Amino acid sequence: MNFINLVRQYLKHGKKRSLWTIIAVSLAIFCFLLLQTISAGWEATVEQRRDDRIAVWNKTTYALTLPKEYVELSGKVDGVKKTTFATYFEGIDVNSARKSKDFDILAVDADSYFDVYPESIIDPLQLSAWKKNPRAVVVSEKIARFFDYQVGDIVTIEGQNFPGFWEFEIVGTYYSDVRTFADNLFLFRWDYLNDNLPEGDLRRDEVSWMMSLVDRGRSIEIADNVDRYFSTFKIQTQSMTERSMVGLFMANFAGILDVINVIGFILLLTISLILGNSMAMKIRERKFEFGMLRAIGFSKGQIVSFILGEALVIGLMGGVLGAAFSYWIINFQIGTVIEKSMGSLFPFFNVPTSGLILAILLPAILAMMAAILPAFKSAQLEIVNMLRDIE
Amino acid sequence: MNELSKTQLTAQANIHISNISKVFETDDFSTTALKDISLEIFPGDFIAFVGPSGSGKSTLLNIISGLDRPTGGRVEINGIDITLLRDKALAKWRGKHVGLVFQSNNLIPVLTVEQNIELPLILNKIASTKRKKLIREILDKVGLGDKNNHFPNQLSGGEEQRVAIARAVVHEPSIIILDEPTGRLDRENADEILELFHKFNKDQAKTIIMVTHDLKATEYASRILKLDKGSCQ
Amino acid sequence: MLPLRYNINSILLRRLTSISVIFGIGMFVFIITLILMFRSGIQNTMTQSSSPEDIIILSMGASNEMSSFIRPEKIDRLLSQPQIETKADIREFVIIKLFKRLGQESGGNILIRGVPENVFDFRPEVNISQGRAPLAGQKEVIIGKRVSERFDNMKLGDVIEMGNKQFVEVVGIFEYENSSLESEIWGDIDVIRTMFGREGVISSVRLKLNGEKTTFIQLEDMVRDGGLDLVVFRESDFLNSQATKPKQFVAMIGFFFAVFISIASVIGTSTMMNTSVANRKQEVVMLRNIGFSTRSILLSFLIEPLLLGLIGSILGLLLSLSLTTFKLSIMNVGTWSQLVVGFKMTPETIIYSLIAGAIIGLAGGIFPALKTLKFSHS
Repeated sequence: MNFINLVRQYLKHGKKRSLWTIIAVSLAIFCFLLLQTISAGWEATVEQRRDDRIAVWNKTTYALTLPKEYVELSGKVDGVKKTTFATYFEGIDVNSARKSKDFDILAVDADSYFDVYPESIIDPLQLSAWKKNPRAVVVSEKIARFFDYQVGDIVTIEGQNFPGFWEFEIVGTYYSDVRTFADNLFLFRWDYLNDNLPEGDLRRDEVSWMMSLVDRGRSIEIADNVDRYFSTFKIQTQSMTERSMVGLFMANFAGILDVINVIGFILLLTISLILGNSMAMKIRERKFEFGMLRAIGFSKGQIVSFILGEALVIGLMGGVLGAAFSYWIINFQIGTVIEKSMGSLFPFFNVPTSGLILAILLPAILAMMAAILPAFKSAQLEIVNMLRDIE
Repeated sequence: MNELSKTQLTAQANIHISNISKVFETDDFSTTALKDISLEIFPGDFIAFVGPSGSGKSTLLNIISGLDRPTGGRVEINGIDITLLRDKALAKWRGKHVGLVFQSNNLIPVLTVEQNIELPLILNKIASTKRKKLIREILDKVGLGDKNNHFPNQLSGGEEQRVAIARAVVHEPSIIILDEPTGRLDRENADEILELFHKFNKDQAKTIIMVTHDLKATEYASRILKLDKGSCQ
Repeated sequence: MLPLRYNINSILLRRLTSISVIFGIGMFVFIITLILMFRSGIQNTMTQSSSPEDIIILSMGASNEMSSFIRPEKIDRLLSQPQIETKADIREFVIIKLFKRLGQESGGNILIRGVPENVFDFRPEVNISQGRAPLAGQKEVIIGKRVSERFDNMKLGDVIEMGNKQFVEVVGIFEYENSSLESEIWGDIDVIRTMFGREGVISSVRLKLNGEKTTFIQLEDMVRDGGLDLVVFRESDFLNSQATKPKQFVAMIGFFFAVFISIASVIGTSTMMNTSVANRKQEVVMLRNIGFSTRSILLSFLIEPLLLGLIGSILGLLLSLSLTTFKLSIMNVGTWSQLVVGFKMTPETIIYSLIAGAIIGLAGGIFPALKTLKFSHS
C-alpha cells in the first residue's frame, strides 16, 4: 500500500504547523534531556566505580578520621592487595582568576596512589618528580585545561578545613578514562600536610579514608573481613565496595531526583498535549477530506493508520530534532560550563545514550497515543455527515 | 460479441432496490426520508433523480453508493446485497465498483491531480507502472493531459470536476454516482462535463446515477425519476 | 470595542482549543511555579531571622561550620579583650553522621550539633514541641522536626546509636522557624564531642555584640590583627552565603527551563490559536462589515489568549498549591548534610506566575491575531 506517500504529502502541505509542532516538542524534549543529564551525571559516577576496590572509613561517621597505622595493618587482612589513603582538603586557589574553581583537593600517598587507581594514567617521569618533592602536586588533565594549570606553576591554596596558605608546585598531570570524580582531582602529598599541621591538631597522623585493591569477586567478603579485623580496636571501621560507597553518597541527592522525575513527567504530559492538540486540529480540519477518502473506498482502519502515521512522523521528527539540539547544546555548551564550575558535583555532564533513545522514541509513542482517541472518534463518524459540513 | 465487450459487460451493474426506507432519528423526533422505494436499474442506464430539497434523492443516492445504510429494505447489486456488507467490506466494494463525483471539493487538496486520480488505483492494488499509464490515458480523455502535476487549488472549477470524473472512472467501476456534478459550474463548463458523462455512458455502457437540479442535465439521462417526500413517482 | 461577553462566549464555544491552551499554559506555569517555590523554600530554610549584631566566628578559611576547627583558647583570648563587649555567646560543635531514611533503604547525612547549656537563652526562637530539653552531661538529644519526620528511629523516646556502642535517647522534638536548624540533631556539647572523640574542639562561636560598645568592623579588625587564625561574619551574611550554591543551581536549571518551556508554550499556544482564528475568517469579515474597527477586532482577538493565559496560570498555581505540604530532603553541599526543604508559595511567586502565564498567552496569541488584519472584505 502506498500510504506513506499520502502521509508525506500531508506533512509537506501542513508544513508550517507541523514544523512549529516539531519545534515545540523538541524544546520540551530539550528540557527533558537536561533533567535526564542531571540524574545520569549522578548515576554515572556510581556505575563507573569499580567493584574490586573497597573504601574504609571511620565507622562512627566519615566526618571523622582513621589512624594512619591502619593503612599498614589493613595489609594483613586476607585478600587486600594494596592500600592507599587520602585526607579531604577543602581549599581555594588564591589566584583570583581561579576562585570559581570546583574540583576536589585530596592529600594522598604518592607512593601508592596510582597503584590503587590503575585507571588513572600518569607519565612515569612526572610520577617520580611527585615522589621526590613534598610540595609537588599532580592534577587531572581536565582541571589543568579548565583552570590553566601548567607543569612548573606555583599554586597557593587557602585551606578551609586546614587553615593557612599552602604553597604547591604542579609537577604533572594525569589522565583517567573513567569519567568520575577520579578524573577531577587536585592531588598533593599527605606527608606534606601532616608535617605542617600545628601542634595538637587532632587530625595529625590521621587519614580521612583508605582505599584497597582487592580480589575481584570477593570484594564484599573482604570488606567484611576488614571490619572484623578492626572490630577490637578503639576506632572501628566501615568498609564497602567503592560502588556501594558512591551509591550511598549519591542517595543524598534522592530528593532532587524526585523533583526531576516529577518535572520530567509533566514535560511528557505537555508534549502529549501539544501533539494531541495538533493532531486533533488536523483531523478536524480534514473531516471532509477523510469523508471523501472513505467514500471512494478507503476503510476506517486505513484512515486511522494515516493519522497515526502522520503523528508518528511528527513525533519522531520532534524527538530527533530535540535530541540533536540537546546533544549539541548540553554536551558542547552547558556541559563544559557545568563541569568547570560544578565539577565536584558533576564530574560528567553529558546527555546519556539511554536518554537520547528515549527522547527520540517517546514523542513518537506519545504522539500516536495522543492521536488515537481523535483518530478513532473521527473514524466513528458517518461518511454522509463528514461530507455534509464544508467549512 | 468480441472479447472486449464481454469484459465490459461483466463490469456493468444490475441494481435491484427493494422496499428501501430511511428514517432519521434524533432524541426528540424522527424524520422519514425515504418510504418504501423499489427500483430496477439496468446496465447502461443513465438515471437522473430529480425533486425538491428534502425529497430524499440524495439519501437514496448515498444508499445506492454504499455511503449510507437504509433503515429497511435491500439493495442488490450484481447479486450482492450491499446492505448486508460490514463496514470494511463495504468500503472495499465501493473502492472497486463505484465512482463518485460530488458537487465540489472532490479532490484532496494536498495531492496533485495525478496523485488524486491514483487513489482508487492504489486501493485496487494496480501495479505502479500500469497506474501511470492509466492516469495518462484518462487525463487525455478528460482533456487535462498537461495538468497532471497541478494541485487542486491551481485548477478552475470546471477542471477540478474533470479531475474528479477522471478519478471516478479510472479504475473502471461498474456504477458512476453523481451528486449535483454541475451544481457549481457555469453553463459552458457544465455542458462540457455532461458531454463527458454522456460519452462514458455511450462508449463504455457505464451505469450512471445522478442527482441534479439542472434541467439541462436531465436531458442527457435515459430515465428521469422524480422523488417527492421520500417516495418515487 | 467589542463586548467582553463576545470573548467569553467564543472561549466556551471553542472548547477544544480553549482547554488545550489552558492546559498547555497551566503546565508551563506549574513547572515555573514549582521551581520558584523550591527556590523560596531553600531561601526560607537556609536563612533565619537574625539581627545585625549577631556574629558567627569560624576558623580561618572555613566557609561553613563543618570545615571549621577552633581551639577554645583562641576564643578565650579574643573575648577577654576589654574592647569587646558581648551580650551573649555560645560555642558549638558540629559533625555529620549517616542515618537511615524513613521507609527507604538509603541513608542521608544529618548534622549533629553539640550545644552548650545556655543555647535556649541564646536562641529563644527554639520551640520544643514535644518532650523537653536535654540535660547537661546526659546522653540525651533533641531532634529537629523535619529530620524526625523523615528519618528512621527519630521519634520521641527512640534510642539512637551515635558511635562505637554509644547510645543517646531522644528526649524532645524541636521547631525553629522552619529553618535549616530543624534538619539537625542537638545534644550537650561535651557529651557529643566525647562520643565522637573530639574533646575540646569547637566548630563555631556565635555572639550577640553589644553594638553600642563594639561594632562589627572593630571586631573584624581585632580578629585579623590578633593573629588568631579566625574569621568573623555577620550571621545574616553567613547564612546568605550558605544558601548561594543551591540557589544558584536551582536558578540555572530554572533559567533554562523558563526559557525553553516558555518558547515551547508560545509556539504551542500560537498554533492552537492560529487554527481558531483561521476558522473565524467569515466572522471577522462580518464584524468589519457591520462597522467594528480593525483595531477593536484585533484587541478582541488579543483579549482571548490573554484570558486563556490567566485561566491557565490559575490552573498551574492551583496545581502547585498541592506541593506546599510536600517536603524534600536535599544535599546541603557546603556541609554535606541533608536539608529538608519545603515548597513555599509567596505572593511574589503568585504574581510572577500570573504574569508569566498572561505573557505566554499574549505572545502566543499575537501572531494569530495579527492575521485578522489580512482578512479582507469579500
